[in-house]
Amino acid sequence: MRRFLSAALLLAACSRKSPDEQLIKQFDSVKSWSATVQFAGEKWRANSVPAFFMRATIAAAEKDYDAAARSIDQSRARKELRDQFRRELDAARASAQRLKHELR
Amino acid sequence: MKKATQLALGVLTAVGGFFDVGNIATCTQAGAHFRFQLIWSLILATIVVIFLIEMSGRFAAVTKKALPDAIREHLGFSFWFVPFLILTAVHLLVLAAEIGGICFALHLITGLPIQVWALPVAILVWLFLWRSTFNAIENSTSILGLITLCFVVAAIWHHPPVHEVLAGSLPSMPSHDPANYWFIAVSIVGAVIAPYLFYFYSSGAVEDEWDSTYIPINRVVAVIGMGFGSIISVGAIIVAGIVLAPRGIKVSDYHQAALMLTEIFPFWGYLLFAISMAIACLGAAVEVALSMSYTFAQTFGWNWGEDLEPIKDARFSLVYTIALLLASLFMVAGIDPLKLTIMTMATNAFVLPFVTIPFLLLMNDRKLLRDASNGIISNIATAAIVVLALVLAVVSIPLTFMGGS
Repeated sequence: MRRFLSAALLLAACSRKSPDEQLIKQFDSVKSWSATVQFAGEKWRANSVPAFFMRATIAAAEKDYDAAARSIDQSRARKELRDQFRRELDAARASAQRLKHELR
Repeated sequence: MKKATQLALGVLTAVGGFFDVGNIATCTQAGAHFRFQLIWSLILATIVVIFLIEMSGRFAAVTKKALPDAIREHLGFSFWFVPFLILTAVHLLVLAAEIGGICFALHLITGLPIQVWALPVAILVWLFLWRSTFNAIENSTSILGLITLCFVVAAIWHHPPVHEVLAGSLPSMPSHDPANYWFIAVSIVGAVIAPYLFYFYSSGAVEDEWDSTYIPINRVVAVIGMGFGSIISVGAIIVAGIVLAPRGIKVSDYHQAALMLTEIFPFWGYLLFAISMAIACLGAAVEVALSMSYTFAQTFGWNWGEDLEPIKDARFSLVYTIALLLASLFMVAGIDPLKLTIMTMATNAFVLPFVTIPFLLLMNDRKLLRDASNGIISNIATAAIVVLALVLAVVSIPLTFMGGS
C-alpha cells in the first residue's frame, strides 16, 4: 500500500507544470464558463431556459471567476500572461453583468 | 407466453435502468471535452457489464441464491467481510450521487436550491421503497426511464459525422489533456460497471424466483438490454460533443450539461434534460438503496425481500432507511453533486477488483453451478475483467490527482 501511494504521489509530482502552464490550465474553466453564460443567454432570450436557471448559471460562473482572479493574483506566471487573463476575466465579468441587468 | 412477456419486460428494464447519474456526468464530460473520442471506453465497459450481468443472473437462476449470500456461505464470512465493507462505502457514495442528481433536476425545474431538496428526496425514495413491491419498483422506474431515449433522438437529429463516431469507437490516444482523458475514460468504466448493478441483479433474480429455465432469457436481457442501454449513453456523448464541445463548454457543473438538449428541442430540451435526470437518478437511487439492504441482509443472514411487509424484515428496511438518511446529508452539507458523482465513479473503478474477484471465483465452482459454471469464453472474459479491474484500481488514484476536475 505504501509503495502504491508513493507511486501515486510520484506520478502526481511528475505531472507538475510550469507556472504559465498551470495558469493556462486553470483559466480553461473561465473560458468554459464564459461560453456557458453566452450560450445560456442566447437560450434564455429564445425562451428555451427560465430566468432562474440563467441567474443560477451566472452565479456559478461568477464563483468560478472569483476563484480564477485569486489564482491569477497568486500565480507566478509571466506578467504579460497574467495581465492578458485579467483583461479576459474582466470581459467575462462584464458580459455576465450585462445579462444580469437584462434579467432585471 | 409468460416468459416472452418477462423477456420483453427484462429488456425494457435493462434499457430504462442502464442510464443513471454516473452516465449523465461522465458521458457529458466526455463529449464536451473530447467529442466522440471516448466512445470506445463506453463500449468496452458495456461488454464487461454484459458478461457480469449474465453471470450474476445465471448464478442466481441455478443456485437460487444471491451473490453475497453465496459468497459468505462458500468462501466464508471473513473472506467476504472486507469486500462487504468496501461495497457498503461505495453503495453509500453512489446513493448520495443519485440523490444529488434528483436534487439538481428538481433545482432545474423549480429554481429552489439543491440543499432544500435533499431530505424531501430521501423521504420520497424511502416511501417508494416502503410501499412498493419489487416488480412495481423495477417496472415503473424502468419504463419511465425510457424518457432518457431523448438523448438518442437528439443525437440522431443532430446528424453526427458517422466516420468520427466510428473512429471514436476504437481506442485512441488523446488529442489533448491526456490526464483528463484517461481520468474520464476510467470514470466512464466506473459508471457503467457500478458494483451495485450485478449484486442487485442477482438479488432481483432471486426475488423473481428464477430457475435454470431462465438462463436463455437472462442472456438475451443482458446482451440486448445492456447493449441498447449503452446506446443512450453514446447518445449523450454525441449530443455533448456536437452542442457543447464546439462552443468550448467543458462540463464542470451540471448547469452546463443542462443546456445540451436545447439546440434540438428548443422548447422542451431543458425540461427533458431535467425530467430524464430526475427519473434516471430516482430509478438508480431506489436500486442502490435496495441493493444495500440486500447486501446487509444476505451478509448477516437476516430475512430479506422487497415483497415482504417491512414488519417481517425490519432490519432489511432499517438499512435502506439509514442509508437514505446518511446519503442525503451529502447534499444537505452543500457538496457539489457533479464533483461527488465524478469522484464516486472513479472510486467505483478503484474498488472493482475487490468486489468482482469473489464473485468470479464462485462462477468457476463446479460443485455449486454444475453445468452452468463458466465455460471457456466466460473464463477468458473473466480473466480480462480481472486484469481490467486491477489496472483500473492501480491507475484511478493517480489519475484522480492528475486529471480529476
